[in-house]
Amino acid sequence: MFFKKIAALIFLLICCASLNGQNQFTISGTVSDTINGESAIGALVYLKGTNKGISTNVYGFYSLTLAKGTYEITCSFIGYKSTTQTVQLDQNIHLDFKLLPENNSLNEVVIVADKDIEQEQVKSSQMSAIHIPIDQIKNIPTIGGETDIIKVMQLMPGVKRGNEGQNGMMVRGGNGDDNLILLDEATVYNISHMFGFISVFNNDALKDVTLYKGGFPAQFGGRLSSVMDIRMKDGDLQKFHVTGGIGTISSNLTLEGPLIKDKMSFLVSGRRSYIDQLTKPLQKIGAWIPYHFYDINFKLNYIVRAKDRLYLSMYRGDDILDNAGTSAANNILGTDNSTFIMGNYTSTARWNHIYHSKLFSNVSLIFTRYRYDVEANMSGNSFLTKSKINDIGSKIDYNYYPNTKNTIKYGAFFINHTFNPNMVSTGGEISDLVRSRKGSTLITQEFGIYAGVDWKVDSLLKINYGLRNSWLLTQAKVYAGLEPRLSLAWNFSENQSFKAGYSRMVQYLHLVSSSAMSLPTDLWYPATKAVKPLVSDQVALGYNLTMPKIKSMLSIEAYYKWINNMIDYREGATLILNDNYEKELVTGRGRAYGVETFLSKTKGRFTGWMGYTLSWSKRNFKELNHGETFYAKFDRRHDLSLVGAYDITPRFTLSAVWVYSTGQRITPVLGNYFVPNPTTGINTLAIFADKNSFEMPASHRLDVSFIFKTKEHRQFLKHKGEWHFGAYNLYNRAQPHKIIITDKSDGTKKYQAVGRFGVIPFISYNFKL
Amino acid sequence: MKKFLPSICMAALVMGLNFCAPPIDLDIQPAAPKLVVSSQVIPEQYILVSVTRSFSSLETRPDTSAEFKKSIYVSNAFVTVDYFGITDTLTMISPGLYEGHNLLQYYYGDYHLTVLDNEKGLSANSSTIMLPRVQFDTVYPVVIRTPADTSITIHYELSDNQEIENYYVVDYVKRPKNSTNTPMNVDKIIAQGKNSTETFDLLSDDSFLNGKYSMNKKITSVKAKDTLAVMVSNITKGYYEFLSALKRSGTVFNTLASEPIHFPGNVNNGYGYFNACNPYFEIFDLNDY
Repeated sequence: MFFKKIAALIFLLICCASLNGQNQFTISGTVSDTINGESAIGALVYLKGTNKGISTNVYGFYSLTLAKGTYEITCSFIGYKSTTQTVQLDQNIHLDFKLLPENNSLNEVVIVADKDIEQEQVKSSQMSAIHIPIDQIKNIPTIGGETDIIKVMQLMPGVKRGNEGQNGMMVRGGNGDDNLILLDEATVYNISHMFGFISVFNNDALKDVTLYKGGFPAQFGGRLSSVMDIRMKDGDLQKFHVTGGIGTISSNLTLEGPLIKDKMSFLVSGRRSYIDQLTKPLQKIGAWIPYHFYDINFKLNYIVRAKDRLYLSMYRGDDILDNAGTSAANNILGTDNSTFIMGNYTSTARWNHIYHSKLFSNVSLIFTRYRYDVEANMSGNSFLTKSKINDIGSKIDYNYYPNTKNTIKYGAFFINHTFNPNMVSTGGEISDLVRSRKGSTLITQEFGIYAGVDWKVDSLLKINYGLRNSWLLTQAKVYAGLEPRLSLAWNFSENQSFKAGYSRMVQYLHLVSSSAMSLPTDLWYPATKAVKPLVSDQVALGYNLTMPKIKSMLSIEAYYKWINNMIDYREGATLILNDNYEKELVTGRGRAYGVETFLSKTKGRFTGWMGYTLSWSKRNFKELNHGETFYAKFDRRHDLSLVGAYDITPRFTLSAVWVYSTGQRITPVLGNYFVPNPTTGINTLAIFADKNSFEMPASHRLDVSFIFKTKEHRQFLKHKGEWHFGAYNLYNRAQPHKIIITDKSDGTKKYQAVGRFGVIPFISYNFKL
Repeated sequence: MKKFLPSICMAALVMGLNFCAPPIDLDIQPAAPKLVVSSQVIPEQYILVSVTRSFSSLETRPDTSAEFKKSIYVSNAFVTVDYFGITDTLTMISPGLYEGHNLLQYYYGDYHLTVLDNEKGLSANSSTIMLPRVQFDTVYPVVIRTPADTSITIHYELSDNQEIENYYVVDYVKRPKNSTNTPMNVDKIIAQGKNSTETFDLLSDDSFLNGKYSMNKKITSVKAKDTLAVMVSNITKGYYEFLSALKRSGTVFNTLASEPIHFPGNVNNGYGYFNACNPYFEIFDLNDY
């Protein structure tokens, strides 16, 4: 019955949107970079001098249906020169646009947008989204000198950082596990290397990223707070290239080029850290750090014919601690023959097919695996624990362009999740304390359908409405989630608009993560008979303004979010290697609200942005904090980011980031007391403050980077290069993340907050052959 | 050393100048001292109440020092237990330990504890119910001696009245041979103190099958020469919850690696648990087995 309702609804949406289609013809095609053939995501194709137009989809496809006539069609894209073509439209036309980059050098500084693109952003019904082509952010200084897409997102309003230097993202009052991170449509469960300090995303392999914080299009779901849609480069269809970078923490190398010119391309990108190699000579003094991480991205792109295109994307990355063959005295781990491996593997095969000029489809087959293995041997004891998640899924998406006023997106998806958490094997005396166990296997199926319509009602009003219905089959129980979506934009003047949106999101997975001890071995679990899916409802209101004279944009958004079936942990719960974790969960609700301001200057010698968020994030659980409402751990009241770059000369750029945020919340231990054990022992019990009742001192820091572009080297491997020099946390301010007790000079003690990092200088060299 | 120098320099660069950022002083008010109460009824004899003080996280003295012990054991407190209109004033038998010899024991009676610490001006009070004694259906140790090892298992069986909600605690108390100590002595407890779990069993109605419960408990911390007391008490739901929290979260490891916890005590303006459960116990000299 329910399926019938959904099918009827989709049919109705399509019929409504198809009403006006007489004596019209369609111009369709793709937009791509003329130099390397990369498709342009979100490029604008429109009738010159009018507001009739459309953006390309994530594969660079567009379709524009117009009445018979002669038109000047303009194509614009961020960082590219606009191009206009005149077409005589008396039949369906296939028209591909090839765009030339505005600045054909290695870098632009920050997000650059043409006036048309800016105005389209203002006019679009999509709100609460941040779209960044990767090439536009390469100069933002971060730890190690390599720009990290996750850390750039942390500089955006509405996105809160977790602990210092780490890749935790708390979006609009949600938790860290409320974010869906997709790499070429495959879910990436663990987004970090180095225990959270560097993201797994190698910029050289990436093309584009969009973060949705609200106003979610119907095709996205599965997490409460955000969806980050990351797209890899397709590979250069024209010329073979080598790009790379040598940094203080890691180096990377990317090869891309045509296998068949204009038909088939490939991209291979690798990155590896080398602290293990640098410290290997220190084995004799027991200071070897046997740790490294690596990433490999691979992509194959094949244009079978004009209407069919195939993609194969793969990613593999691991963090490896391995001191096999050495004794405990030779390494900082203090163990013999121990290994720790943790990482993701994803692969996506996609087939784009254009049925006709108005209907585009994509079919994806997706595999994702996240696993960790820990093995430690010490003094005759051995300990091995493994966990993994395997997802196999497929999805089909259709984009239908019935006329200039409507774009319909609909599709379906299926994912089979297999969870194998906490397999443990022990040997020696430790087996008395930690028993070997196979761990439980949980298999769940998540599936759903969706349909959404982007409707340009008239020149003033745009509406996006849609519906998504998802199901989870778990432990012979079926959960269903009906997720309505609505957003609209009222463009009451040329450069201004009001926007509003509502979206419901359902989340069927959650991360079991100890708040007391941050470990990389946190585990994902599905909803079960006992643990219901999480549900959020969010409303948002926004005001947008473009200021062409000063080449700037302003966006102000307010939001309110209700989260139900939220999960937290019972007081005193121990989650490490806990197979019976469900007993430790408690269910409650969350509320989050706030105002975000984003002001960006996108052109000129000085570019940059200011993001400010004033927000509240609260939780209420009957079993926690005496049933009283408490603030979320990362309820940072004020969050300000200033990002700027100044081109001192064409070859020399200075960029800087200053961030300020209210301190995170913590539950400190204020005292202790002794209580006799029923036997002859005693327990020393801690007196905790109320949950998250203490606010740490504010975090603020300044990161700077100087970028120097070298002249083209002509003698040795003809290439362009650029040096990045800079420092993270330049004025050496501790970013408080935990409390310690230290001695005062008078013999008494005091509480202090400490950070992880002081000032960290960096230097890196990037090149392109 | 020269060959290490590049590595050291690079490692320092890679790791950054960590820990150089100076810590920031915090203005956190440590917990003010409060009274901590625990109690034990010795059937048909007396009640013992221990009264100590909680201490700040910024305490500088080692917890084994005499000065520290003196600061937390409450001496010369005014400790009373009220029941059925009777007020029994307890006598201090050692610093921090108070004994009520004349306490009449009424099952299902309400007992109210009041503690006044004149030295620090602290006070606390609490109430509890005394539940009837229960006995094991059977209880005995099984000692298996081999040349390599000795294993000690306690077998016991217990019956439960299924018509009412009941909770029980079964304790295993090791006592030195020929000891004349009382089962609970704060001084001894602190002197011997090691955090311990798995040394008592908590049972609720769910533990019983058709009103019967049977257990073979392997005791690893007791030697074959020791004397072992096995006690069973019918306890209140509140005390059961307190002990449950204590059992799973009372260790040092839990303090570091677990979610924060506020132990569900029943002491107003204080910590700990005032209970008046009446244990039944049997003592086994393991040498005899």
